[in-house]
Amino acid sequence: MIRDIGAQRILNVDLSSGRIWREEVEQEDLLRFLGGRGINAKLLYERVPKGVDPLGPDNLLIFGPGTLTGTSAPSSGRTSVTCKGPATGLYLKVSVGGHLGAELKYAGHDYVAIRGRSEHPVYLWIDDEAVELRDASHLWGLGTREADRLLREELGDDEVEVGLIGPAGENGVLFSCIIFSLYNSASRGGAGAVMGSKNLKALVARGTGGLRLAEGEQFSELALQTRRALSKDAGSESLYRWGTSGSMPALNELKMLASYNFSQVRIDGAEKISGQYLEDEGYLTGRESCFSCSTACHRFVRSKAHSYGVVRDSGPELETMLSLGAECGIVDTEAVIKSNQLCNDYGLDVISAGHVISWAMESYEKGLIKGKQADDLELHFGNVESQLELIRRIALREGLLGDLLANGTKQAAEEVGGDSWKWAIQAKGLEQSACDTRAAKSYALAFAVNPRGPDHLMTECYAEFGITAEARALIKEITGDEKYAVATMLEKRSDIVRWHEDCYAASDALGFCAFATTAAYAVNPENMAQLFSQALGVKLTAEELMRAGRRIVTLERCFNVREGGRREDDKLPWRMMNEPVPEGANKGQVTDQRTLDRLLDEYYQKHGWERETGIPRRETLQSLDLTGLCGDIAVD
Amino acid sequence: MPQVTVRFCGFNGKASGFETRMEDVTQGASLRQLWERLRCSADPDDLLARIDERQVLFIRNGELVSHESVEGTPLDEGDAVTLMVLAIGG
Repeated sequence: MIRDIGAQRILNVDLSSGRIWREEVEQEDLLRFLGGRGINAKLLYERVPKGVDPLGPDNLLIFGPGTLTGTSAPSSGRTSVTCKGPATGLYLKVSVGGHLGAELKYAGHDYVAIRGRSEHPVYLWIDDEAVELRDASHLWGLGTREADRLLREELGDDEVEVGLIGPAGENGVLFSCIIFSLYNSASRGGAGAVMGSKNLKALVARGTGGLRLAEGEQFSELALQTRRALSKDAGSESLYRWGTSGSMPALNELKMLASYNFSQVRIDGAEKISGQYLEDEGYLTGRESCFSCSTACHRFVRSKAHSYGVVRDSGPELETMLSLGAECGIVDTEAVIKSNQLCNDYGLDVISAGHVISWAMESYEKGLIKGKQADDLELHFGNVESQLELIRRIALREGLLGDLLANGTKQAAEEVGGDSWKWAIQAKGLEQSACDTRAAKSYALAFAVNPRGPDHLMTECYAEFGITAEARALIKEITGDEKYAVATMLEKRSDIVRWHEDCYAASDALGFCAFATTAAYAVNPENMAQLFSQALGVKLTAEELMRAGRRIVTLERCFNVREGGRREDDKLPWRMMNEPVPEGANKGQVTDQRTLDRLLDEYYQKHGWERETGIPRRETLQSLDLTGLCGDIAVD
Repeated sequence: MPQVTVRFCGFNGKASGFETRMEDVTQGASLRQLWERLRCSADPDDLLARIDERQVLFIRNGELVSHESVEGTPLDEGDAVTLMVLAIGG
């Protein structure tokens, strides 16, 4: 079936009753929230009331490909996965690449909203218009790779697209992920545990339809122009050659590389866990792109020495190299490749997995985890065998330590006690990604106010480093002067964060990859608005697009406010706020409470949120046309 | 004549690893002057001679130098300069 791209539909699935039904998205909502992340946020706010247990049947798990996903718009294959997050008890949105989003679109479904809990394991099979729940008992307990293979075999079609969980999601690990298209992960915050709590092993789609664009020729021409511009961006080639882990050598050289559970900012041998090394030394076996992406930053590797068996897997990406490598004191290429493979197969978020292990290693070295609590593991930094074993035990919740760490560093530190909470690299219950928020103040602010917890994948303000001409031009556009392209400055940080928030929300809603908008810069609010307009046959300006982005960000804030989230929750891990950078050009930098308070004051004021609490003001919600939806939480 | 240490990453036929050289610079020379001289003296087939400057990361004494500041960054005796092929993303 070929359908108009603007005629969006929600596929609702109640796993408790087995009921499956469809509904239309109102055109007005599509224009206000743009699609993907925006519509997901609206559905979550409307349908998941305050206080719902994230792992209970009343939580909603929503898959929402971007509105332009499935078209030729460059790097537009992203899908937003949204639910109430089990790690934080707050709003959770994860953006994931791969090809499942486009397949859902071609099958005729723009959103899949799943609630309830099946009595036994099932998978959701979407074969164009035919949708059914099928028994998945035979897949329960299997790793993501094997389960994916069996699903394709069972359906007799190797071209289906699959999103599924591994044992970690089945066991309710609070940082379990959902794997899309074999090698893409909806990682952060425990969306995999939400899926597991519903006894839903997989979502499988086959779509043979298509999308009709209102102004197809103009759209294709602009998409092509934008794709060409993207390929000429200064950083695009590096992403293709080395993936995100190409940043390792520079981070180490600048002494900005998180290592030993963020107690240090460099590590000897960092090059061995870099994308460049994988290429030079023959680990790299291939590259792949997500849907409609010409950058193709996804890489595949194969072990060489086979120190931990023959390993074939994707990545590893920068955050994997940092979290499962440097943060745990490991610079062994084979060990990180193996750790990454285990996490992907068990269905674990590599960032949190690495950080719960590095927290355990520091706690062990300081004598707070010992004896029986360590389950006979020697947890010194750099101990690869212990790390590999711990990944398995966490995923299976095996033993005292595995079960403890499966709940994340916040809960683990509460259990272990002493000062261990000080080196738990988390806030709101989510482990921080391995970016140093002491010496990059936009990052610090963005991480602190991130509704899902401190990480870079909601609002990465890469431009504040001013490395490239494009980055400096963007900072000038936002602040009026490129002199603000200095990451340690405090001035204008709230403007920089605000712009990036709005842009990220809009690009997520349309399905664009953040690498195309805010790491490379060829996809921008102007051409996003034009592409949206041409696709739907409406007139949307760049300003309106960014305003819609702000509406999404504000709605997400409202969700957290309704759950009790306040200003005091907008913070960074203790170490980032209290232990200065130990060496390098940023030596002495820290984002202490006073600094953060200044940043938050300005940020709340710019948002129109109450300074003392961080709650949106009524007039703010009115100006964003949100009072009907969430006016009940506003302050006057 | 002041001497500076130059570390190259990604320019010696491999993407990874560092190659270190000592270079003489004239008194008051800028980072741009050093960069131009290194490019001109490189084999035309070397990446160093061919690369688009936008794809180079400049670091002096552990601090990032933006492309716009390369011209105005003076070099002193004992400075450490790192030239890396730019990589982005995280």
